Amino acid sequence: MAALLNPLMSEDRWEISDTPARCAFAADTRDMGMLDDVFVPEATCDLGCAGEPHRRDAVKALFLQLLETDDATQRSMTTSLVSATPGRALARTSGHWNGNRPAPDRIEIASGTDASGPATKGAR
Amino acid sequence: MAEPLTPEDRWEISDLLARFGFASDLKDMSMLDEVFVSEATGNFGPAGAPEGLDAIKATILLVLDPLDATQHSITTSLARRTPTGAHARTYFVAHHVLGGEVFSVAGTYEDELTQRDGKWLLTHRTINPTWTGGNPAVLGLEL
Repeated sequence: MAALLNPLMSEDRWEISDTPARCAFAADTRDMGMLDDVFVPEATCDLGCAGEPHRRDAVKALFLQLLETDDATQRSMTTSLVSATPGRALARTSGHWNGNRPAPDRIEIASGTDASGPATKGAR
Repeated sequence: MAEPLTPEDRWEISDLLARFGFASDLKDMSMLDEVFVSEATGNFGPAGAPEGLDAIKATILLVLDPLDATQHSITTSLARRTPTGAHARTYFVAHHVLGGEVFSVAGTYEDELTQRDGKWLLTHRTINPTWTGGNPAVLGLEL
């Protein structure tokens, strides 16, 4: 078993777990300003078939584009695991996404997100 | 400038949020003594705006007591220090079961907290529903 080279402090864990939470609230409240405390300016984001924006401004623009057809959304972040290597961290977080469209159908998506250290502002 | 919340503060606030969920699902209102200050207030939307811990307990029981079962899941949450204590914003999904029918309500808790005798407690809770699903008749509603 590999030794843990750089165990995270409790403060780090809270700061890292706040990052996907802040991203969820930013998306659901359509407050893209909150993403300034989620992504570094040069961050990239792999959103699967929705796109792969490069840089924070492009991430914001794509978020807004994807969300404009929903009346309301709720991104519930659940299981999360954070691992660290020197100078960076990897967080894997499961989420349950719920969106209400103007049409009668409601979509629910269970998904996982990975955030690696250099792409997130909270990483050290 | 006030000091940021410590990891110990965050864990205690996290437990407090969970305790409300378990208190509701177990219908154990005594657990709310470790959630709210005695003079706490609530804005629970259609369920009312109770003032004082006893009124909060009565309001919750009025809604939940007739039900067969409930489950309050607490998910995404952020907490930050404020001049008077702390503020927490937390997602919930609450499933209400009666006679095999389910009505789900999901939304956001907006909580104001204070530290009293070294313990974090809620002074005010606002419940903002975001979406519902299932059979509203479970809660006696017509949507």
